[in-house]
Amino acid sequence: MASGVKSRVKLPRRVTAGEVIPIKTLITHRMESGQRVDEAGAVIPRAIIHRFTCHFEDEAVVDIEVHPGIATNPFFEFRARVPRSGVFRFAWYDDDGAVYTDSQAVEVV
Amino acid sequence: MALNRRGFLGAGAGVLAAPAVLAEGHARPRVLVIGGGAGGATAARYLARDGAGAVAVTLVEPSRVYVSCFFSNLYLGGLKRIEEIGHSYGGLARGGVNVVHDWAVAVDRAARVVTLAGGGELGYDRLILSPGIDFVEGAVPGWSLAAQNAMPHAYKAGSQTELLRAQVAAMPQGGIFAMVAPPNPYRCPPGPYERVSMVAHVLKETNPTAKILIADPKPKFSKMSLFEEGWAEHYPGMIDWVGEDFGGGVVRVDPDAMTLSIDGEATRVDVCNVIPAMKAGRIAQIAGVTEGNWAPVHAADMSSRVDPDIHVLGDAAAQGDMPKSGFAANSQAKVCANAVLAALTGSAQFPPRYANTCWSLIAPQDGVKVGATYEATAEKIARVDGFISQPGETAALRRETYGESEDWYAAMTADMFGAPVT
Amino acid sequence: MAEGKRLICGGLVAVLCGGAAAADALCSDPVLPAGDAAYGAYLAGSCRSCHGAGDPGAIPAIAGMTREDFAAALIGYRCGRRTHAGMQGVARSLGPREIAALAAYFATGAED
Repeated sequence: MASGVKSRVKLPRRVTAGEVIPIKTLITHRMESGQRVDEAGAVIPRAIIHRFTCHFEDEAVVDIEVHPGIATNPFFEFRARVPRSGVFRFAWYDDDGAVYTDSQAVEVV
Repeated sequence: MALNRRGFLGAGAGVLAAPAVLAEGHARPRVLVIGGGAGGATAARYLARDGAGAVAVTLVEPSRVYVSCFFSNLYLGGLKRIEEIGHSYGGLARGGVNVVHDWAVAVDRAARVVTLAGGGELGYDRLILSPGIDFVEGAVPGWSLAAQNAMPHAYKAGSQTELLRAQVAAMPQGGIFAMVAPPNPYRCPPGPYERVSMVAHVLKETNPTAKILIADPKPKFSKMSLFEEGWAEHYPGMIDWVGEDFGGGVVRVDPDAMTLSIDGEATRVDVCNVIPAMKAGRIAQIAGVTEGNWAPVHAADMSSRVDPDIHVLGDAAAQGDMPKSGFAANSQAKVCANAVLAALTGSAQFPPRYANTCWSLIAPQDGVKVGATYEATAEKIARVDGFISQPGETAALRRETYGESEDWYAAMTADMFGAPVT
Repeated sequence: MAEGKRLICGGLVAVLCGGAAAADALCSDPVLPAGDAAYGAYLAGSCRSCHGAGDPGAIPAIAGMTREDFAAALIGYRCGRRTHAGMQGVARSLGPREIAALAAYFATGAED
């Protein structure tokens, strides 16, 4: 598991039924591309977040394949329609096998 | 303004004669410079030196020692001593500048007289204002200047910088250093992030489990990809930046409880560096040459768009595309000095030239830079072309870039104050 | 319409050719006009922000350079034969008249 990884999500906690809401996510990760060399000339191994997913309850909202061109601390912003109260779950998949997760409940009022 | 002055002189008031009359016999034309930083000190020195005595140059500056904001983050990082970034005004005085240590408190633009806090009055034919920045009142809820000892801004270098360094040194193991970053535009765009880097460097050495929390009202910042890459490399897991997208602009501080609330979530912190929104230094507001928070100027000679006898330099000026930096103020001062000498003495006026480079240090020997050249248009100082360090550069190149910044500091301060006295 | 188009194209060609010709002339045949040292003294103010009198470090001292060396260095940056992003920008912002003026000024020894 990479060190210093911290996730952050932002979305409204209270919405009206059927409302389309903005969702923003960020994870601190160095996203080592695998194309840099160190001072001795050796290639620094690739170590990135290669997949990001968001689910609303059991329904997939986004499933993103991430490639080494993405910069440090990947930020994703997207929209989702909220039909009822429920929980958004987020997952970031690290090259080293770790999966970082976050979640937030949304209440339809 | 011009009409008023003709009327005033026509009425026969003899206290203040027109510049032409002064130049012919009674006295030399008088240039009054307010503010002895990168803009004002440079302007005063170039006016005295290039004018070779043809104009009387007075510099009004309250401080006897100038502590540069540039490199003050390196002091916070333990890489420079405070003495190394302090400069006296002795070199300017020896170069023919009349240095007055006082506050300017009023400007009578019709009579062209500036009043000092000590009670004195100074007349001018041209007034150059280079007052730097002040903070916008109420910009950070819960914070005011009265709270600057509990939560320092350290954005005017000197005792505030020393206070912040002492507070970082006194942090408990595993404590939290918080920063409230300012909205655009503000002095030294990469400055807050270089500061975070230097504080992180100190904490890595002395307090490695400590954390840094940044609340930022901006969605992105100067050299962001370079800083984020460097932070991940040198200080993994230490720095948490909360930008506009995650509520970084919705903050409140409580200096008594030492809490920082971001988007409604309060955190108890050990040090809180509050850098509020900024505006032109107070004397520019008093002089009435500001529109909104800043003083608009003509790109050709940095003259005020409100009063042609006043020039505004550096951070206080709204000039267009140049960042608010010491380098930019120094560049603007030379254009202004040339134009003022030409207007008052008939010497040659050359085309304006502006340039800027901002170096930042991410970790010892890991320097980065951004810079550009500019041209004067009718509307503004407009960016022509620029450059910026790239992510993934070699350590050797970063060392070279840091070396440049050290050479620049020595050259720049000598250019402002004259060669240092040994 | 057709006339308008021609005018636009003509303008474009002129700009492109003009830019390229100005750059090429100095790069292929670096002949400079006589330099105005007084103008150079003013322009040198820009150099002093970075180039000091101290020991040569990352930023070299430029006081005391001969006219030929000074002009060759700036033209080298301008034409990409010398690589330093900042100095290339500076050199591109200087025309033949400015480079000649600076070279003439530094040759006076006023900065030594």
